[in-house]
Amino acid sequence: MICIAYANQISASKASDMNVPDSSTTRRTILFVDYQNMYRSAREAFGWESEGGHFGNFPVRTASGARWCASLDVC
Amino acid sequence: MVREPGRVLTQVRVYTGIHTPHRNAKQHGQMQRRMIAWVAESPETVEIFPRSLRYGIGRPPQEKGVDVELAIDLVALALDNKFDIAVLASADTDLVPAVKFVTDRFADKTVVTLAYEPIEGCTCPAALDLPSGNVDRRAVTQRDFNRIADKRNFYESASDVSAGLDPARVERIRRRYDH
Repeated sequence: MICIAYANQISASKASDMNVPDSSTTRRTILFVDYQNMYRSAREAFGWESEGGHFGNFPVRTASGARWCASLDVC
Repeated sequence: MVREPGRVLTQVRVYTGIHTPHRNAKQHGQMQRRMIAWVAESPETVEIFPRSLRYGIGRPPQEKGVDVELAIDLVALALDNKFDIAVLASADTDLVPAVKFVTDRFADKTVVTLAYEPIEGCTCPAALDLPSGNVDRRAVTQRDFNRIADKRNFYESASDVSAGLDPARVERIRRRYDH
């Protein structure tokens, strides 16, 4: 209960920043990225642990973000 | 999974640890430029939630609270009905209770977990794979990753990544990430 109350409080402060339409005709998709987790996971999963530090950065850039979302068929 | 029509990517929320400028100025600088670049490319869509790394003696710097913040936001935004589909890019099993809460409570919402398809013999963390009906799992192969990789170099401090972004927002980002 406390957790939900806290979540409500947080969401009230953060939701105001958001540009998220309330719509019943579209499926609104939000991408949540745990950036460091995905970085480490990529380096481990693809055997890049001994490669340069730039290997494995999650491609957040949004121009490509929309593209990758579509190309991976997730949004 | 089969792509449904009418999907709209409304927001990209990035949660990350960041080195403090006193402990690692170079890494702090490159991460700050990286984050500003993401926001500059789509100020209406991208929101960054950084937390300073914690440093201990004899161990690498660690993230603290990043997973909790993401979990709270996932639940809070579901309660506020701000999304229909949450795509969760993480292999952190600490997020499982939040995912389960959302899918158990909201039959009309879907969570897509996104994780890397490991190469053979890899001992890396398994993707989040919940038995609940409203969780889809999407594996990203190395070939997928290479196709979408961001290979820009953010170590070059001279590169202006904030072009086009409201200077007030750049300043707000810099202040926020400098604590």
